[in-house]
Amino acid sequence: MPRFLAREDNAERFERFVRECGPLLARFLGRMRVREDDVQDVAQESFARLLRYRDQEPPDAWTALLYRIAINVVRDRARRERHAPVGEPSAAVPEAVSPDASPEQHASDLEALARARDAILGLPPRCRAVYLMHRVEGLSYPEIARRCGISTKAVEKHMSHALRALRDAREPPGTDSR
Amino acid sequence: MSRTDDIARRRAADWFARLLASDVSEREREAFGRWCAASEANADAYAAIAGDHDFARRLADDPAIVAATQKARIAYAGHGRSAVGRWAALAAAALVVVAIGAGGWRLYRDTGSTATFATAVGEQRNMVLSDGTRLVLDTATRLDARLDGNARELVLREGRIDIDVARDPRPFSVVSGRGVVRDVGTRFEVERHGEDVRVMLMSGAVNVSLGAGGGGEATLAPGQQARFGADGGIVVAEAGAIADAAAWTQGTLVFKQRRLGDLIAEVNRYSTVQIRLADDSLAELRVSGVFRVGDQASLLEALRAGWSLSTKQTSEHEIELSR
Repeated sequence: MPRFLAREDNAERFERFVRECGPLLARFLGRMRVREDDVQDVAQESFARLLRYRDQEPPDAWTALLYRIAINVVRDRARRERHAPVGEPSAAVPEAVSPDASPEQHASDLEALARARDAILGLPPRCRAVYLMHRVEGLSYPEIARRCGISTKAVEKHMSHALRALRDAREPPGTDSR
Repeated sequence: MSRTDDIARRRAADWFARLLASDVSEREREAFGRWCAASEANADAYAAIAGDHDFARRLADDPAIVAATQKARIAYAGHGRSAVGRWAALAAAALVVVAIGAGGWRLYRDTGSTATFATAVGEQRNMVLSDGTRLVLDTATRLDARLDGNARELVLREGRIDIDVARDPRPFSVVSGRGVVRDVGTRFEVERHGEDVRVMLMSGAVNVSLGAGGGGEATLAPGQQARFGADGGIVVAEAGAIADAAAWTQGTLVFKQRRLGDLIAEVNRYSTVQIRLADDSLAELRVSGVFRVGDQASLLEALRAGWSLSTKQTSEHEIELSR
């Protein structure tokens, strides 16, 4: 996605995205057993959090992100209801690590970053290329497919493989921390 | 990690990769919703995968990641089979040796193999061939280079190259479309789009001759350009300011009282996002300016401010320009 996209163009697009995805998200939240009178609140909060990503992530990525944010919002609310007295601010898990994190947080971040980097560099060449083109260059699946001379379905498979490798690096299979 | 969690992790990665695509149907989203709601483990796994992907964005400035991305860009420049990309990467690696160690270049000199070079849309690349000839490849260019004991030959398949020919006893020629450009120690430029070829001479002398479909021959003087197409002869004309015409090799485009239509056509060659004129009369507007190659944003800004045109992103790959 070109980074030069004028803000107002992106804003317009984001508005359209919210209009189009609102009903879908509401149904999704219903499935996730969010109470009917909470659905609007959760949806609103999800879109509000997604807004932070508007100019950072290509529009193609918004849907995938929105679901993740929605899941987190639902989790945060459940946690709040369980543990915190009414009205207390939540200890929400941030979508992105905040810039003013503590030194300990910073150190563990660096370590996690190094692990993520090694996981990416350790991928098979084509898989690595696909992931980097998407993550670093912000290219769409069709554009990556064209450059690599493979189908968009193959791009998707490489992405899935890379994502799993990243997850395994963060939390190795077999050492379930939950 | 239990087997169920492992499956959840795999499925979560598949789903996230699917949802990042631009062609996700409503039905698929519904199916995803069902999967996510089916168990806590599924939703957790999805959130974790998505979180890692988000986290990885912070690696964008990491030197090792930047280098790997650059390497991937060269190896997978597109234009059909990936084998071409690999060739380009190999050849580029060989050329680095050439550029660094003067002793090493003979290794590659007489192999007689053909190397293919390609640039992606928006990409420009400087290269030095094993004979010392300097090349600048413009956006979306494909080029074969073959240097053996008797001859140095380039075949321009598409795009534009700027050539600074090194002195060497072996003759130097560029084949493009129907024509052959033979050089006598000089700097020139060859541009090809489909069957239309333009040769422009900066210094020295070149001879342009046509093969199949009607002969013809022309010798160019500095500042002159020759054009030929699928049929007909060679048309020779003055090229105008040489420095302006060759500005693209420095990453700029210089336009003086040129048609907006021409400028847009030129700029579009550097981007996968195409600018389209809302009506044909706009193409006749005269514009002047110096633009950075590939900097669509500044160009659009200039057109908005200086010519009161408005822009609108009509799709992922198109921007409409209107009054």
